[in-house]
Amino acid sequence: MSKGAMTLAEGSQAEKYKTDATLILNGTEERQYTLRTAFDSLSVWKAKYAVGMSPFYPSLKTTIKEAALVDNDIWVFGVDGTNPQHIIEAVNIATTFYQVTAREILSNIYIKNLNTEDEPKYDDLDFIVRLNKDLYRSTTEAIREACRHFGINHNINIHVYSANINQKIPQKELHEALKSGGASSVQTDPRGFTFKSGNNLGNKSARIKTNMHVARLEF
Amino acid sequence: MPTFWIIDTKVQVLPKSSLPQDGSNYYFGRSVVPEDSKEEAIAKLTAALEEDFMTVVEVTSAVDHESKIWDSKEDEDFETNESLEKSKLTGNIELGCFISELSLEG
Repeated sequence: MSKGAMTLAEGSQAEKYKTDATLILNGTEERQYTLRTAFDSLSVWKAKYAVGMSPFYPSLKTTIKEAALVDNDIWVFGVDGTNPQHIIEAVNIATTFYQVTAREILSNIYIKNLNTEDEPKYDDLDFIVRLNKDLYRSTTEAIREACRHFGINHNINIHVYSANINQKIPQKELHEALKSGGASSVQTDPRGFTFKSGNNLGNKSARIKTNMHVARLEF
Repeated sequence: MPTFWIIDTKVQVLPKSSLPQDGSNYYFGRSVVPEDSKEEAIAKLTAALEEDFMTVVEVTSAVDHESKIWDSKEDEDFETNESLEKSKLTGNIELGCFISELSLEG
């Protein structure tokens, strides 16, 4: 059992909006080390969510140098989950900060309602689904590549929160996307969950019903 | 000084809207709109939502914020007080958090 976890594409740091990194298939697990990452740069993120904080700059030589401690979790900003190098750098920051192995952080990965930034431009629903599928596929591939970089040789679970009937990417399409990204299997937890979730711009949010899908990467 | 209207809406949301979605037919909102008249406030809110492909199908209530204290469990879900504070600070519409129909079923 790993006590660490990593999240991708975080929005607001408010408790109700943070990605739940404690749920596992049919259960829960306590976390001691959670690395949270946001797509936005720190300045954009602060402007969106009106958070005042002083960032700290990790002494590591990375291209992503924006990290901050928020409610006892390390947050790394400017992390594009489809870019393996970004994931690797974020994990390096976390392993240095928490003094744990990359395996500890990467064993459990969490993603909530990933959406393409371009969605509102398109009228064609099939096209939106295709874009979102692409996003999940390339994120899974990037995670796989980052795991290889760290020489991970055990299974990794990617937990995705998305409603089974979410029209932006329904369950079947989500599972296809995760598998085409390299997952050996994908299971949907039988429990239903209710979370708050925000849009990419950080100016709209909703409380929605959701499901958890667990994709397994085998090495 | 405009009135800060608290407006309850029932909306339909297109998949291409940026609002996070769960397949519900309807979403419910409680938004804060600073405007002189109630009619103007409703029109402004409707237009703001339409921009992001959210269609108001019903306005269930529109009242001056001073008419009551917004501290119910519902208000916590809608984040009414946070919206009021922000709106008073910025003078902007604050949409609050929308509640999906499916999430109401528990």
